[in-house]
Amino acid sequence: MLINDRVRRLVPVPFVIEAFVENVAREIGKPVHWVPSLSSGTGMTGLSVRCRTTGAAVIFSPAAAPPDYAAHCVGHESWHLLEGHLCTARDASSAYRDGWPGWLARRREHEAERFAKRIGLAAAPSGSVVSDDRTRRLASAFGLYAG
Amino acid sequence: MVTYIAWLGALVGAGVAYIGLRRRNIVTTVMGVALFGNAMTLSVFAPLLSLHGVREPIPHSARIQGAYWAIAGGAAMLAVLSTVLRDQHPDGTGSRPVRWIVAIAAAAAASVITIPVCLASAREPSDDFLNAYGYLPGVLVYELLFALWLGTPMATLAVVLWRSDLGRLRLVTLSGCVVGVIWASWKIVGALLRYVADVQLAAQSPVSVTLGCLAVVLGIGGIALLALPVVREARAYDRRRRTQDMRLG
Repeated sequence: MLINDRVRRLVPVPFVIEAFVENVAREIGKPVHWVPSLSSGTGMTGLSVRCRTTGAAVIFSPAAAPPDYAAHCVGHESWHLLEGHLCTARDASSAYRDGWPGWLARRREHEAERFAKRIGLAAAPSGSVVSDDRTRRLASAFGLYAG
Repeated sequence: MVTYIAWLGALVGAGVAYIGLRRRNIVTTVMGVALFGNAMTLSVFAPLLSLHGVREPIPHSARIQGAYWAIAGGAAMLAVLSTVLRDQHPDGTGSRPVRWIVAIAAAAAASVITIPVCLASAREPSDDFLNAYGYLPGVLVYELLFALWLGTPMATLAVVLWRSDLGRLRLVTLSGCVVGVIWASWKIVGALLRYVADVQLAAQSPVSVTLGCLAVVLGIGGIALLALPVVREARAYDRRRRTQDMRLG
């Protein structure tokens, strides 16, 4: 439910990553910067870091990513920022992959992925994004589009 | 058979309403109610079109129930379309759908009150209603109200779909709407001919309910078809993403 509310509130039409990041920054009340600079081979396709003192955040995404993939990565990391998720060294340890903490971590990731997919689809070159506003409202009324 | 088609349509309507509830989108939920209402109208009149050729009389209460479903479906559809058609500027100015929705709700409430009064003199179950009771002014009003509540939303949806950018698949739903408008026109012309000129229509004509059935099949089936490209796109997106994960990760 929350995902749909946030998609409606944060996704600009037409979709532009910078505008989306601005909306996320407004939502969390802190500056957010998007830096598409991750190299391949790092094993990471998205990363967000947040300053403990100022609360400002930086979202990293792959440098060579096509727009919808970059939007997906930014969407995923934005969800973590919006939800105030924090990770520590212990999160990555094997002890936290099982049991209740593991389930919570997986649930967190799953929600972030669901949100990210909606953002990625909004940025996709065709389909979900319909050009005119009335068509978008009609498609939304039929349940075909979440805008 | 017609009952199954009607229930299938009702299922699609319920599905759309469920999507609306899950997304907390009131417009989608109301659209689901509209589709559900139209399909349920058909289910009430399904006994008039049997594959075995045996028409069962429709009781008085079922006829009122059918009209109520039509009003609920029609009012819901018009309310949704008034929000689709609204032209509002980003600063919040422009036409607002609220006054339209209030007017639609008032017309629906008036119709709900009027219909039982109109049918008060036509209480006996009938499988050939217009020929049996079409001479009564109340029945004429009932037929006109019923046809308008089904025809007007269909005509409006047809125009909105025609002007929309939803691709060729929209033409299936659009053709269902056109059949619906033809059905409503048939109903109005039939009722007027019977009342004004005392023309007896072909006994037990299946045209009306056949057109209604076609409208539901094409209209609601078309909406289900419109969902196919969305599902296909979501799958293609997942495939693209897996490929990019391997390439960029």
